[in-house]
Amino acid sequence: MAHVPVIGIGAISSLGNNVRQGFNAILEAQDGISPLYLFDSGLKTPPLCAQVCTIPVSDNAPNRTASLALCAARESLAHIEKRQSLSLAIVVATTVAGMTRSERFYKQLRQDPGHIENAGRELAFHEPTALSGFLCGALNAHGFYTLSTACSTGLHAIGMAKRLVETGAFDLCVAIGADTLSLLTIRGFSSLLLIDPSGCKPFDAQRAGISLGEGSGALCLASQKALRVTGVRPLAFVSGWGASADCYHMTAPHPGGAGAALAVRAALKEADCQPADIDLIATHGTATPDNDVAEINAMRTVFGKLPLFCSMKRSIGHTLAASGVLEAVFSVCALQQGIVPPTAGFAQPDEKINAAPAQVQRKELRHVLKNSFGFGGNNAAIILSHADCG
Amino acid sequence: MPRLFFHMRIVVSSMEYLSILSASAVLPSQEATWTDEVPTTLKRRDPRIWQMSYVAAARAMKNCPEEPNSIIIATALGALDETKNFLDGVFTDGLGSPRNFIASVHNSMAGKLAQEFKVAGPNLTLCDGHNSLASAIGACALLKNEDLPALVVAVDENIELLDRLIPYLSSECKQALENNKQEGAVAFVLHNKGGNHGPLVRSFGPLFIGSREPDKSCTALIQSQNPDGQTAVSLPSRTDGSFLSVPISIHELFRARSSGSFALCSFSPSSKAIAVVELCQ
Amino acid sequence: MEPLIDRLKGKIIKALKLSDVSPEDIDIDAPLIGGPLGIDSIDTLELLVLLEKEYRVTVPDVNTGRKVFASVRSLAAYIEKNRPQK
Repeated sequence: MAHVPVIGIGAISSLGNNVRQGFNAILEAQDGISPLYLFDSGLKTPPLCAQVCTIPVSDNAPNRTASLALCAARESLAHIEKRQSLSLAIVVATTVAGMTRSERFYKQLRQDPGHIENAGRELAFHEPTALSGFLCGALNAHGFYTLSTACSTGLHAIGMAKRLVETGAFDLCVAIGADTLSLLTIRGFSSLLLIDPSGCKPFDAQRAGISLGEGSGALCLASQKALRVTGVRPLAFVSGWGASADCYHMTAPHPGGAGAALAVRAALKEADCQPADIDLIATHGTATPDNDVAEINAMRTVFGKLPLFCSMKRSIGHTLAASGVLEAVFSVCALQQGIVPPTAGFAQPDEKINAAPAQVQRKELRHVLKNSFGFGGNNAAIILSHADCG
Repeated sequence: MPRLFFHMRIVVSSMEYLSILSASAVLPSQEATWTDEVPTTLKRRDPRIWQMSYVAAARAMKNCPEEPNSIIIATALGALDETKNFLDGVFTDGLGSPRNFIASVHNSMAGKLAQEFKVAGPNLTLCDGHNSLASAIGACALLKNEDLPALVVAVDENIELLDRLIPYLSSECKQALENNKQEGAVAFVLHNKGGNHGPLVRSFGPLFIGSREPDKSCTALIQSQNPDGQTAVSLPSRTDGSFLSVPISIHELFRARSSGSFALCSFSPSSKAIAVVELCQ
Repeated sequence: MEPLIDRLKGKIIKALKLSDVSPEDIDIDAPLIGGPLGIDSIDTLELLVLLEKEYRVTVPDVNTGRKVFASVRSLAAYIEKNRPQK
């Protein structure tokens, strides 16, 4: 198992259309959520969501998820010239994909049976795989995989991209996580009473749920051959991927965090890292009463002494399948710049958790652990390492 | 070692073979009493697509010498019925059922199987349309040794709404879904090849072909991987129009112990991509 | 409140898909959640939907919810007290 170089990153979120804008806003602990204006959710009060202001024009993208994905993917590949002789695969992580168009179609169909004649056009991109096909065409990519494991998908995509490069399957592999806001996800999380009406407060004593968000992150991994051909210096390394299942409950995490700990340990083992080597945990930190306490419990079983930790969910929202990649991208920035990001939305520690996220501070970071925990008890952990630790 | 596909400029990697420890299928259209094998707790309230996945998985694991350490689901459309029911609730009286929403998430089958069978390792769901099984096998080949064997379940369901919509889809999609009534679940337990000589399986793709012709692309791909021409090839145009065509065919060949090398090709009109699942036994 | 309780039992069975349970089987004073019917936390959310849909009644917070869902009898009493007058 190798340390695989990251040679490109891309990000579009409610805080900005590129990585630099997004990370600078995170460093300022900007609040990235506002009352939903993209469409009518049908709820009495528009929920607070992280919404992307304007998406740069993107060639006939069939839906909003595709526009976001293309934007981030393009940014991650923009500076990589001379890739014509290299094979490129993408691993796409999405929950919503074309559902925004499908749910609008279905709503209209219920009111007007004649609307069925538009099915061909409106449902052409319903399948998640259609997003990947579109991106391959737009990016000149050769192969792909489409993953959908809810909130943990982004990190699994990075893990699979790592494997594809280190096994020699492809020279370049971009992990792309993308999700937009949809009626299905907003009403779905609302029916589970998981949305905090006053905005998410990660790890806070008053936390009461999530704030959904839209966005896309892209991480380009390269083989040794690709490094030579492109001449690009690594920004960081992906050094470990761990994956596990809780086997506990379909929506609540295991309170002791056993499954999560398993994933983290697997990632550490692959990265050949000891717990003490981790300088920062970029948590899942969704601000649900259950997640935050279970996550810290899990981290305590692995680390004993808890490293510095942060959550980005108030700044960029919970972007579901995109979250793993988006937050990994910003973790790469943290590694590069030697800065621990703050946690917007946090004010008071919870005595049940007995820990507080870190203040923003300069710190030499060698290795960062990024966690994501999804519905159905699906756990993912990725370790990112500083470019000098390869 | 990666091989370059010069005349098509597609790069294909020779993925490692995996050995098939066991396989099973649940096809409701052929088996009226399959629900007898669904435990009471699931039968009460859980979605049909979970039940089909459960029975296929239980059957595959019953005949299997080793227990799986990870679960990979291959599904094109996921829990269609649950998604529709949730939206019906929202559009009818503004109230969507929480249980419908949970089940509508694409990886709900994988999570449920992990819970029922206590499989704590990697848990993935691949959604690549007609190419989903190839993707799942590809993902399996990328797992670490300690995460194998893996339980791979290809599952898709048919609902009345889908039947109604198909005639209005593009002609490519219509053709690819001609026999979409073939719903069900096909399960495989896959392990490292080790010293095994059969039955073995591996996959290529999905590979994006854009506007290129699927049958020709598949033929070229097979020829590049098996230049000796000993492989029996099944092209997308001749397969049964259903998301489960390839999994069902692989299962039938496996069960019949047909000896030889078989390449089952698929094409997804949604992603304009081909894939191949190759069986050797 | 008898007719309400009888109808409520039927609605609970239907909403939670308890297909092997009949109204006579339900003990109206037994704990609803985690009790003999095998109702879990997701079911409580389904019951909230039921309350709103069938009786136009909402539950303001988690603590009230715990008392409301303590048993079928307490649920019926809450509905009786809070349903909009016809």
